[in-house]
Amino acid sequence: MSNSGRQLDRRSVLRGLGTAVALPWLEVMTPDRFARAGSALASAPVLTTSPLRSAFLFIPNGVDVESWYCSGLSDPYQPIPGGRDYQLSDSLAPLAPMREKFSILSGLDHRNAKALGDGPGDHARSAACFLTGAHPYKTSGRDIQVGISVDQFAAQHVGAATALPSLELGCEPALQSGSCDSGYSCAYSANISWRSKSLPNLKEIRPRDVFERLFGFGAPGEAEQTRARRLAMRKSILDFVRSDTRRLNDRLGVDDRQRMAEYTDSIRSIERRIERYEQETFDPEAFESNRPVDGIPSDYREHVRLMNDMLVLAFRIDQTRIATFMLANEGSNRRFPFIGVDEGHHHLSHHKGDPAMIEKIRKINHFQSEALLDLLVKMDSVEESDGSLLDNSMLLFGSAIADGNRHNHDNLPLILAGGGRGTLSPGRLIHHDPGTPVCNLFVSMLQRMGVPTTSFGDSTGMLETI
Amino acid sequence: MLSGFTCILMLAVGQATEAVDLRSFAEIWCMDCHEEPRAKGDFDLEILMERVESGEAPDGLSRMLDRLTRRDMPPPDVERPDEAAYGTAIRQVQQLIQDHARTMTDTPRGTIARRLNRFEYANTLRDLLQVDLDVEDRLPVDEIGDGFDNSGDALSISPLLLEKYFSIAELASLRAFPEPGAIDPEVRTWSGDELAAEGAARLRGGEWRMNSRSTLRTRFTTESGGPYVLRALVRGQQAGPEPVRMAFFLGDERLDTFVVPDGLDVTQVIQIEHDLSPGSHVFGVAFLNDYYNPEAPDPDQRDRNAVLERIEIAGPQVPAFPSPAQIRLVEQFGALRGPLTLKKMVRELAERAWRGPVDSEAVDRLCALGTARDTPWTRVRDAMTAILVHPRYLFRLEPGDAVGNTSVRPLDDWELATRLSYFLWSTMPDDTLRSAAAAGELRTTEGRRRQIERMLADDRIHALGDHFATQWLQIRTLTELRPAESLFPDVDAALLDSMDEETRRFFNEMIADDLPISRLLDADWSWVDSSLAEHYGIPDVEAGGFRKVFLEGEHGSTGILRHASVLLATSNPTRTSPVKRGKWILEALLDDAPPPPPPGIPNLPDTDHLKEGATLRQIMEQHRADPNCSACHLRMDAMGFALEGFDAVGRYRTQQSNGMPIDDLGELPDGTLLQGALGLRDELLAKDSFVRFQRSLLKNLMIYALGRGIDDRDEATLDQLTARLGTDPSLRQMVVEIIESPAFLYRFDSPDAMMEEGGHP
Repeated sequence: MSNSGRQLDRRSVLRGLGTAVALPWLEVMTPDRFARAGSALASAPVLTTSPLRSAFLFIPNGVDVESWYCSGLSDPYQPIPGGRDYQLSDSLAPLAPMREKFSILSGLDHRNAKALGDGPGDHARSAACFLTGAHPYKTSGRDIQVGISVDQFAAQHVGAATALPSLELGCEPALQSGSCDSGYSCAYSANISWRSKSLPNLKEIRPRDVFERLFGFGAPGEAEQTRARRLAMRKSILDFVRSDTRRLNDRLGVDDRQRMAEYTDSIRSIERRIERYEQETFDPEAFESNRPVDGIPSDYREHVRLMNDMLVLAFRIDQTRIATFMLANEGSNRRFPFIGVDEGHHHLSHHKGDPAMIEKIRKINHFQSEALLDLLVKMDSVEESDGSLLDNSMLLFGSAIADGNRHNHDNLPLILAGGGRGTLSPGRLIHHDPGTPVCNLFVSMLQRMGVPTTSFGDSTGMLETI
Repeated sequence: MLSGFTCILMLAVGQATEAVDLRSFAEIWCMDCHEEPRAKGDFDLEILMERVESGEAPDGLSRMLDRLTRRDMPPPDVERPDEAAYGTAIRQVQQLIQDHARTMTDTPRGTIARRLNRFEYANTLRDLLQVDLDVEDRLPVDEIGDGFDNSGDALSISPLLLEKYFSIAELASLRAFPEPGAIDPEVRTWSGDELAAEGAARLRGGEWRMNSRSTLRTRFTTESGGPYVLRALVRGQQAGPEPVRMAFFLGDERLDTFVVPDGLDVTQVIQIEHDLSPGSHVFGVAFLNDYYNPEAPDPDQRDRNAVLERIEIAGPQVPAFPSPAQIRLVEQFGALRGPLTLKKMVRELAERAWRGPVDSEAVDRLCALGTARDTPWTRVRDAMTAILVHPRYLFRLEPGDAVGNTSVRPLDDWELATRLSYFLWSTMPDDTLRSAAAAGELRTTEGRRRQIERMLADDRIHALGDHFATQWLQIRTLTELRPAESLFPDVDAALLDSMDEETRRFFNEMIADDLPISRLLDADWSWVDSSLAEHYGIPDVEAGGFRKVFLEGEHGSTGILRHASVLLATSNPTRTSPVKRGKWILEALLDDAPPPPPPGIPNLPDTDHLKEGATLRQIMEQHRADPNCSACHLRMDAMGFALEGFDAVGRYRTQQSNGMPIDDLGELPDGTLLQGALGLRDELLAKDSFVRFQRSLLKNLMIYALGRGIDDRDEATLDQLTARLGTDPSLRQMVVEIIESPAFLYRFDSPDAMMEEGGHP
């Protein structure tokens, strides 16, 4: 042996390969690099204050309530003085490092996730209701109907400020079978973001595709000039198809016109983005070297972390201020071999008191808390001019089923994280009177986002407690 | 068009008795809640009953039927009718709806604009441009409506999807119409800190000094498969007995070893050509034979080293110009020089892609998207991109005749060709079908018949097996299932693929050989490859693809009832589920889906290792004891138990995993005994069941063909088709009859449009 050379540990090697397992983006992607890589930071006027961002994270199948709720919550409505002296539960223990950055909300209900005469189907109803507060119509395909979701309601009011009005992320594709839950279309179980009462917002599950979207239709190895021409051509083409659609419309029936309206709506959305991207510079080199690998990581943990990265990136470079992320579809029967859970999540959630099964649900809940922690840490480590990205965000995490074994929709497991740009006071366990609608929280969040509304879904007022 | 409504008065007479019974049911069980002034759910049954008694069949009946069928109403926490009363009321409501529907045969529901699903989109793009971009994987999974993924109701479009269509369109245009001369494949390079080092390699002056055994790696992604050149620019420093040796790795696989000549001042290029699949790869360049001898007398012979300057990957190495799509156009229209040829080519592309005539104005606009400086092929590319994101490409539209007029009319030649082609082939019409359409041949039964026969004989008909059969039989997600590894270690992804293929091949054979549909239930043969044969315990099947085998033994001649695909898809990961199997038979085969269980009912334990010698049957006897369960489960369980001779992964077995003997006797509510798969088969082939089976298959095929759900208004069509088909027709006959039905040959209004015109009572 001649020179010993520089020893690289495995982690740096992996990072160099672009498969970094932990925190790759925040380390590799310096703000400067991304300013050049085509973000709004490069061209947008410097903001004196950072914008408020909102994210909604969804976990399926409810939780094991005993280990999820916090001690002192055996009577969940018993107030704890000050709310700050609560003890983190076993399932939430991983979140301890960030406990000053979030609050646990107890006592909130989604009444419209209940059967209300529609029979079984709590899973489908809960996902459909999670952000809409609405009661979905029972159908296996035709006439899908629930309600606009809170993220989309906000996006319609304030989404125009960014290239993407909103970003929808997930880890699982829609299901390839007809009915996912007792006669409910799979659309209800696979989506939480609804553009309109009948149109779910497709979610992106491939990290690389999200990345390319965030950088304005980037194509691999493309020169600046080529890209500029391609974007200009897209605009011409959009003009062309728009005028053709208008003509076509006159000859179509009501249902078909509805579908064409969705199409025209999509045209408008792309146009708006192109106009923004045209004002920005694009650094193909930085783009190329930071793109995540293609495909879906086989390790679910890595998949979730990468999607967290994409979410942070989108907020950080201000490509959107509103996002949803389904860690899994409702009713998901995913296994978690990396924590020793070889049975399906949904199957386990119906544990009927079997201690071995409950233990596995706890492991899954524990993992979900780790996933949330990963996101919170990443957001908190992004410094903005006036606090961290987390301080400038509102992040709701939870499920619209409380106890996966019982399928109840009251006292839902919900966490509200972030500082809301000084409008939230996190670090507490906050109790609410039984029957307080989750939609009251949505009203309060919407108002903070600058949406002038006093009601949403089945709200009865605002949530003053947060 | 709504002449059927004149029959309503006549109907009223026949309905009188039933209406009376239904009213008393409603009064006893429903109207406590569903009557003004506070009708729950805005559902007033008093008004509904009045309308029924006056001879109408209001929409509310469907809602009532739905709630009763699911046993959702009356709610479980109040007193509920017994099963017999439920049954009677349901039959009455069904009868009212069906009788009414039969009076309006000429107004089936319209088919709404259908977006191409991802399979149709991929096939169409491939046929149109002869490029293969793995589009199926780039597009999101489509929503399912009415059991199939080609349902117009469920195929919506959103900004994200349109963006994906845009990216695919740009890429496809680029691939299909390359510039003459611009044949160099894309070259990507990595150097410096873009490479990851393992072992003793140092980065100095932008180069990697590989001073002892070490590897430099890069991860890269290929958008499409094909031959790629993998290349490294290196230098070698000779010392010791051997020359410098380096190797290329793809992942952990060593591809090749190279000898690098001595000379630190001469860059050597080492490269190989290698076939890569699309996706992510890790390419590594290793220095293999370090040598260090500080004692060597010649200072130049003391240290053997390698230097790596950079890595290049170029590909795919395909001669880009002229592409198959370009050859086709040039053969047809001559070389692309002037605007005239350009327009001809663009018109041809648009008409094929849009599956219909395109006027000159649209062609002009398509040709004028770019600027005067663009090359002719750039113009074709831009036009192609526009064509591919246009609604006439993305959607199958069947517009009305003229402005504001959305009346019933026969489909035109192109629309008919399009429906035929997507129904049978899941892709766009080919040249022959287009010619037939252009010549007006599809307007006659004989003309259509010729095309249908031709299409049925073509390999593309396998689309029916791939997309219709797998969804009808509910095995579409088979390859995503994972039986418990601890119990079934041999069932891997490849075997699941084989199971899937068995069923598809068998279905394709049914069509190819024009076999009667009863063979689906009693065929004594199937298709297996060596791994599936081993799984089943069928001897003497050699490796090398699928072959037809005849099955011996008493469980042999039971068609799809013994396909591992079906048996596995209707099992739990650890054990068989007679309930799931029974439900599958009722749902898929007999179109008689049981309602979901009432809330609060626990599932059976998920293991075959049943405690204390209790058999599955003993546990399931609970179904019999509880009247809440027995109504549906007696039938469902009996059918499921008959298949107990097959384990959770579809193998024939003689004892359960806990050593208990197999118990495959099922008893139907009427006392009929079903012994094993043969008993079940005979039951399904018996007259009443077989009529249901035939109708269920026909109905599913019709849903698939029309891309919409089948509702009460289609009952009459189903009646007619069933009558024409007789007993035990073939799938081919079913296909022909569906195509020849008005529902397929005509364009109808969408239901909302009909309402607006005030037609519906």
